[in-house]
Amino acid sequence: MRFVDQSPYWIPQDFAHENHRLTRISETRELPPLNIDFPFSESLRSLLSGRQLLLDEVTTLYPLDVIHQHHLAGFITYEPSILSSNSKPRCLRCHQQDPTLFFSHPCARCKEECTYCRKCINMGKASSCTPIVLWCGPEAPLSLPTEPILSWEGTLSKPQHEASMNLVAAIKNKTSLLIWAVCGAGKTEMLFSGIEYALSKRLRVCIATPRTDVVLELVPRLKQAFSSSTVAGLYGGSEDRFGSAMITISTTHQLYRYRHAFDVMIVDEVDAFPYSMDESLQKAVEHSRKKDATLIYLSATPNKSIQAAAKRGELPMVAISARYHAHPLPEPVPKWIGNWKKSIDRKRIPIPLQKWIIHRLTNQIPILVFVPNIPYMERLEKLLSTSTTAKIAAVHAEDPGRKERVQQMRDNQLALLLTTTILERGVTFKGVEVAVLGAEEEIFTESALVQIAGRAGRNKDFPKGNVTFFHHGYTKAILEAQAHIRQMNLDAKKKGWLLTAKKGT
Amino acid sequence: MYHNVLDQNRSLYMYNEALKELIKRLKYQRDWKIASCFADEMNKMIREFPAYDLIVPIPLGNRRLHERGFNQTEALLYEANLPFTSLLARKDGEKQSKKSKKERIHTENPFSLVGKEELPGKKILLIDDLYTTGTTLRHAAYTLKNAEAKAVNSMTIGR
Ligand SMILES: [Zn+2]
Ligand SMILES: [Zn+2]
Repeated sequence: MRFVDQSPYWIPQDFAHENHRLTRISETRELPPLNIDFPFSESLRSLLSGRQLLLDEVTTLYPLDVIHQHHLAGFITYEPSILSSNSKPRCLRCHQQDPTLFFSHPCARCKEECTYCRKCINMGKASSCTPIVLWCGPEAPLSLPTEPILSWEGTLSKPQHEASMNLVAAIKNKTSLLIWAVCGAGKTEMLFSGIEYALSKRLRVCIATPRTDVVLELVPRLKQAFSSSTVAGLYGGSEDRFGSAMITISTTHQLYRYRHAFDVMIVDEVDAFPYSMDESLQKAVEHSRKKDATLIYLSATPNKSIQAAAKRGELPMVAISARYHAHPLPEPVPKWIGNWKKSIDRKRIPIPLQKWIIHRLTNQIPILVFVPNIPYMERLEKLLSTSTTAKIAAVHAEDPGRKERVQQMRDNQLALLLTTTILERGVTFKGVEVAVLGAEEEIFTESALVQIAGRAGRNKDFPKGNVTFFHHGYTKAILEAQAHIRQMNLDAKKKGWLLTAKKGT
Repeated sequence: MYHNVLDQNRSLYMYNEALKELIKRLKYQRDWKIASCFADEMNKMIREFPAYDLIVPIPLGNRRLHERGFNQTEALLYEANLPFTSLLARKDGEKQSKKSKKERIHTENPFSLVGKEELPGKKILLIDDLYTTGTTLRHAAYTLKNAEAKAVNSMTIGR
């Protein structure tokens, strides 16, 4: 859209006289003076507070003249979404400035060459003529949930309690914290007391995660635990993307729509793709929280740079090395499998893997097999289904039936599920045992292998669960993953967090 | 009356899932750069076409054009470096996708002539992104032939 520049106001072209010069909003201005008597719209405020929405997004919900009246009264300000200074464009929504991620074209809206950002285009097109709308009137006071704020009545394990106390202290003191918690530690419950404390102080809480699955899993659990609070779940295609809530659970991508909104920012799985690889997602987390917000990192496999920051003492850390059921993590068994690709190419299931699978099929133990790529996964699936009558399926990232098959596996309708690394995190199958085929492949990094091993033994009735890394040569990642898991078990034992063996066993 | 106004149509691709996704990104996400994916293939096919005098893109109505910020057909031609002449204007109609196939076939002609280019005796190549029922292209061809264009062929990305 184009505007008439009447500093400090921008008059939309629809309300301009014919002889006025139209221009694009190309700079951030000082705020227009506030008319405190203006009868502003509460619903518009709750839509815009702490947000940075594109004008296009706001005009789908409010007429332009309502937005403009709020601007004239000093409640709304504009800024460009694409900043082009000395011809180097920068996106003020997703904060990227890689020239290959911008493109320009003659634009029918602004009648000029118009630059847009391809990085965040999934969330609407940020372009030279599409300003960002910001609320600059008085903020909505966050209401207090009714008591009891936390309606969860479970008890925390000793390690969960330790994490929980550290978290509450970090929120009180507005400091950062890394919670390094093993897979199956029960991290959601660890957060409860911290969130309860924050809500009692009218602080806005955000849990950000790279994965939609996690949002879908957490929303009902938090709604149940905090039944008098508002909980919003945000992911690509979610319904309530425009609601303001006391607790926001969001994919890191959706944070592009927020600015200075959260007092407590909990970043789950900081090491997970794509967050770990994508600087602009990291910046989205930075920009969406308030400047003095508490920043909590939560991970089973923090990457080297976060570990280093913790070691240097820059990032306070608490290590939760034991699972909630107080059994040690299953330590993976490496097993030589030779040239497994060659045998699959010759239509033979590698013998060690075949034996491992048959043993479990005959004992009716559910099996999860990780395969480094889709072509080999599909070939192995074919070989397996011709050699057994057991129900077998395979899943990968592009697979539209993924959710269904994962659910079938949960419901014990499948005996064996083949998967790429897509299921390395998050999924829990009761009593499952895990094999990695080709553990030497590059895709199986230390953290991937630790996460994969973390799929086994999660249920308190089946806390053991074999994990076997079938490999064609050791890699550093295999050795590091083993060392990592062993180290966690030692730490847990030292802290007295593990069950001691019962008499007679 | 719209029979035989279009001499022939050729399309680059069958309309499949991959093409559907690309067209969606071009038109609804408004990602202009997607248009450049088709540049080489458009040029190849156009060289094999019967001779033509002018390339004419199917236009959008004003409201639609303003919503989208560009006409995807012009974007395709622009990225393929193919010079074109905008001879047609279009009335904004209801969304095509909201109508049934039958309704689409029996709609009135939304096109009118705007260009001052001399049409009599000219051979025209019409360009559109998708060929669905062919109604759009036939309406455009009818408008051009009514102004004494000699031949009207068409090319689309998908069919
Ligand atoms: Zn962007
Ligand atoms: Zn523009």
